[in-house]
Amino acid sequence: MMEEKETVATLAETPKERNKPGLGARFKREKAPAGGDGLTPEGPTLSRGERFRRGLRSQSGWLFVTPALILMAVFTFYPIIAAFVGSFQQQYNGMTGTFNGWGFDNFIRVLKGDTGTGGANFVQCLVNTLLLTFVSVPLSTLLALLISVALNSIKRVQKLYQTVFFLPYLTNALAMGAVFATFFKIIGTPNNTDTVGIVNIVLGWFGIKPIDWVGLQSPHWQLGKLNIPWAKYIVTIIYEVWSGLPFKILILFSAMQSINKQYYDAAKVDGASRWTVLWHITAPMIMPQISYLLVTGIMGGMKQYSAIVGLFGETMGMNYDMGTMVGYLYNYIGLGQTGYAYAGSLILFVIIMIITWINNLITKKRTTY
Amino acid sequence: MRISIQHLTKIFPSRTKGGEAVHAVEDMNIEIPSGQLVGLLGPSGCGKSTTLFMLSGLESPTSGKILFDDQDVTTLAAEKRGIGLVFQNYALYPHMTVEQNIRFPLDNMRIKKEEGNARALDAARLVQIEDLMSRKPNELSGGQQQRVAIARALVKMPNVLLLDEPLSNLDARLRLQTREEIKRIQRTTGITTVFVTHDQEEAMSICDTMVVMKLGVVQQIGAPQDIYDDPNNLFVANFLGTPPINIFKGYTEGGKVYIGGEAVAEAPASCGYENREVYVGIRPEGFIYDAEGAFTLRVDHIEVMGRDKSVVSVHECSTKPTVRSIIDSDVMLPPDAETLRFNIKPYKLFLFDAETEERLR
Amino acid sequence: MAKSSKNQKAPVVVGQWDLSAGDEGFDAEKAQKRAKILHIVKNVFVYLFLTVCAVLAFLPFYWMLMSSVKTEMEFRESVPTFFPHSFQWKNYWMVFHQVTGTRGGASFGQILINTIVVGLLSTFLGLVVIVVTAYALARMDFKGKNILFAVMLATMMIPGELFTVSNYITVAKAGMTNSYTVLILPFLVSVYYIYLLRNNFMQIPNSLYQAAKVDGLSDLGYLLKVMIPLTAPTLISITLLKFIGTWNSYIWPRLVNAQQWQLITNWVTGGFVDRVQPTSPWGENWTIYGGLYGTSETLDTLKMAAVCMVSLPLLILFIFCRKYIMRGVSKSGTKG
Repeated sequence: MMEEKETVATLAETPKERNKPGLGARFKREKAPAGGDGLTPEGPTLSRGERFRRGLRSQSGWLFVTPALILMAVFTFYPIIAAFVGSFQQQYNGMTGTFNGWGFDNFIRVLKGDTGTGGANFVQCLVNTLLLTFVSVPLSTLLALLISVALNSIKRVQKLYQTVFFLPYLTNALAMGAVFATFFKIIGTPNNTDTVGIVNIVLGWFGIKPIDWVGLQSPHWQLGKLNIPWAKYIVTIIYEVWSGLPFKILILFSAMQSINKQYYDAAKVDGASRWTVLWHITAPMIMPQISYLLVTGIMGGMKQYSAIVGLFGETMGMNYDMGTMVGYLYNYIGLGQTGYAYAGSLILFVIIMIITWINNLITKKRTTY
Repeated sequence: MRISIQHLTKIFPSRTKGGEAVHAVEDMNIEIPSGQLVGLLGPSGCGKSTTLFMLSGLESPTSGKILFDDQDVTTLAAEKRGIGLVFQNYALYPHMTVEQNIRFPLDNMRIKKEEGNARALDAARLVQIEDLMSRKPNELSGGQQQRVAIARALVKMPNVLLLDEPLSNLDARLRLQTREEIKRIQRTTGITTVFVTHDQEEAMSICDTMVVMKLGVVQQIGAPQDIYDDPNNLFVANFLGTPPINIFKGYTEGGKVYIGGEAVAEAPASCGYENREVYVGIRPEGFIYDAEGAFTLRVDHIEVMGRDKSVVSVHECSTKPTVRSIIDSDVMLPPDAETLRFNIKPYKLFLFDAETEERLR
Repeated sequence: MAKSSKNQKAPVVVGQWDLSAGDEGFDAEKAQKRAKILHIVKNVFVYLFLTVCAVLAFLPFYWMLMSSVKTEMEFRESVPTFFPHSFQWKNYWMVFHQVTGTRGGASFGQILINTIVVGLLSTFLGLVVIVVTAYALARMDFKGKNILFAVMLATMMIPGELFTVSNYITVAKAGMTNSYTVLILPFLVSVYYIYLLRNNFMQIPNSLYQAAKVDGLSDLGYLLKVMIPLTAPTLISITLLKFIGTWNSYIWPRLVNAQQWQLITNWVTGGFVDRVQPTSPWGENWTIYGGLYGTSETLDTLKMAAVCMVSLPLLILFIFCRKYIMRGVSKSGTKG
């Protein structure tokens, strides 16, 4: 109906518009009869029904978006508000809705690790998440870049290699985590000669003693309250590099394929070596994709959880020593400590926002040089 | 189908707040007799496409009426008007074959399959694409796509066929061929046809009636030759004809038309005897070489075009950089002459008011 | 024409050097040979590098397949075998029949049905919501459309985990836990896919819509007969990725549903422990040491067989729909 009103309004305004001197001069309407003859009511007069139909039609878009809107209201918009409110309610219990005053208590307890529940430690989870992300993402991007360059330089069986490299993408993080764990696992055998796992066997060829990579005796460093289970870190990073490669190769390789061949031909004519071509033509041209991969990789890394469960089980290692930030949330949902879970999720949100902000700063700088 | 357009106006509200509304079409009045081929002609932005879309029902007018055979269709939806529309970019459905494209309107009319097939084939035959029925649009050349679009518009047996810039996406050779084709199809079917173009040559060559528009206002309506021979104003005179008309700044005094200091023709009586500033338009073919002629031009060069020759010259009163006059090739011109003198055919010379740019008759 | 043919007949002069001269020809040949050898060496390195990487990328799959058909004893040998002594297909039978888990327990058949029902329903209903919303955002004019779209896009910035906590409480309070609904409803709207499809829809030229109007098609008819066929590749990608998303979902089902309502990925983490197994067609009560009671240790071979059963359908799907999946992935960069 709003739309219809607008049309009426323009109709009413028209005579004024027509008498504007500027317009009159512009159009030089020699043949037009004087006055608003063309605007007499017997123009497109609409019947009441037609008017209603058109009015309804002009707003019927709302009808189409209603399902999505209702679902988003319940499962997206409401949770945002609830998380903000709930995280400031002390000892909030989501199921009963009870809480004990307002304040920053949740945040303080989460950051201090003073939740009194025996659940995961937030700082431990944060350190794990950051360390794993900032090592594995650049590493797998670099490896993906090398593989893509190699893939791009061959002609034969290129498609086959491409498919093989893409295979790990479609697998289930959890299931493949379980497979990776078997590479590293020490398993007891009937005659007490432990199977040390493929990795330990290979390391043994170089004289390295077997390490309990994923088990209870996994080596670690203790930094005050903080636990650095470096062996488990290595396992996780290897797995994350492996599972991160397919997507990165796909993006980088297709970016390289779409570079205009003329640049390469021009470089050839100019006598550039392969290396020069790589650093001065290919790399700058796929820079947007590389930064995209780093950003999405870091964003994804901040939310990692499934891989950890696949490798180390639902308890995320021993005493949650391999916990991640998302793992922390689920841990506290499971414990019924909704307030802590909210506070944790808000902190995660803030961290992701900061990363996004830094990324924006960097991209802005880059595009303005 | 007779089409009557009465006081048709279309105003697009301005996109920005407080901006000026765009008057795309202003108070248009046209009567189109049944079975005619009508061309809407004008430079881009003159409202000709808007008019076509209002005829089709895809745009609704701000005010005014459209009548098909005395029946008011102004508020009737596009699909109920019984029109066929050919889009500038053809708008063929890319995922359908040629046959499916042509049949598509019939399917929507719930016409039986056998009858639909027969009619689709008839339409395809009419535009000579019956061999291409199983192809997809992207496997066709521009000219073939154009034919498919026409067949799709014709298959419904429309009362009115509308074509939006039908030739603009074709190359020069195809354009000539296709415009003949459109004429032929229109003649065989006898459907009242309106088409939009910015190319005056195209419009002149095939139209029965031509409507010249500028900035939303109709400038002149008539048969192409009539408009060419008797333009209403400077714009129309300038817009029609290749090579274009030569325009000079001049004046009338004592019943004579002067360009520079030379009296080149008799002024019409309406100009009176007092001094009056005018634009003088002379068609290129309006010059007769005469060593004693009334009008002197300084020759720049002469282009020989076989059938005739074209004298390109300069004149200080000309509004364009060069003046072009076309002379029969049998006429012998003095070689290496710096100036040539001409007489002007009176019916090839038009006077326009310097202020209003309207024709002085 | 005449001009160009004349040009062709004219002698071609390329610089001042005669390239066919004997002396220099020898050197050029040598250089060419050297370049060729260098080229081959480089290629060998490139192929070697790629092959090593490809083998490493593929190794886990190979290991998974082979382990799944080893006996538990062979799997535990101190020097692992790269090819099983004998194929224990009964591992699969065992996995199929073992009731896993502690929370209620569920058979593989039940879990598979859950996954397929939830996958199909959420994919289909999700597509309907996505298409309808994208259509309205792309084609219809209504007050507040742009604001709505901006708000929807803004929610993409917020990590989904922020919603999970409240959503769990919401569904728990609504009594929706332990149902299919709870697995479907919260994930019907994917803003990213709406965004993707809207852009696709907007690329369709407006003249097609006008042509369809003239041809007597309703708005709904235009959506069904023109827009959907034209955006089919994107829709297929979305369908596949959404189904894969359900197949791989793990966290939410575990949170809201008991075992018999969970999905296939949850089932993989169920304990495959050494205990008395149901009698197999091979007619043996099977535990790791052949005794009457198990050791309750994890049986990795059974776990690998389960992992295979979860992973292989995805690999098969990938082989058949490679084009669409890779296209969808390169566009969206999300798994589901």
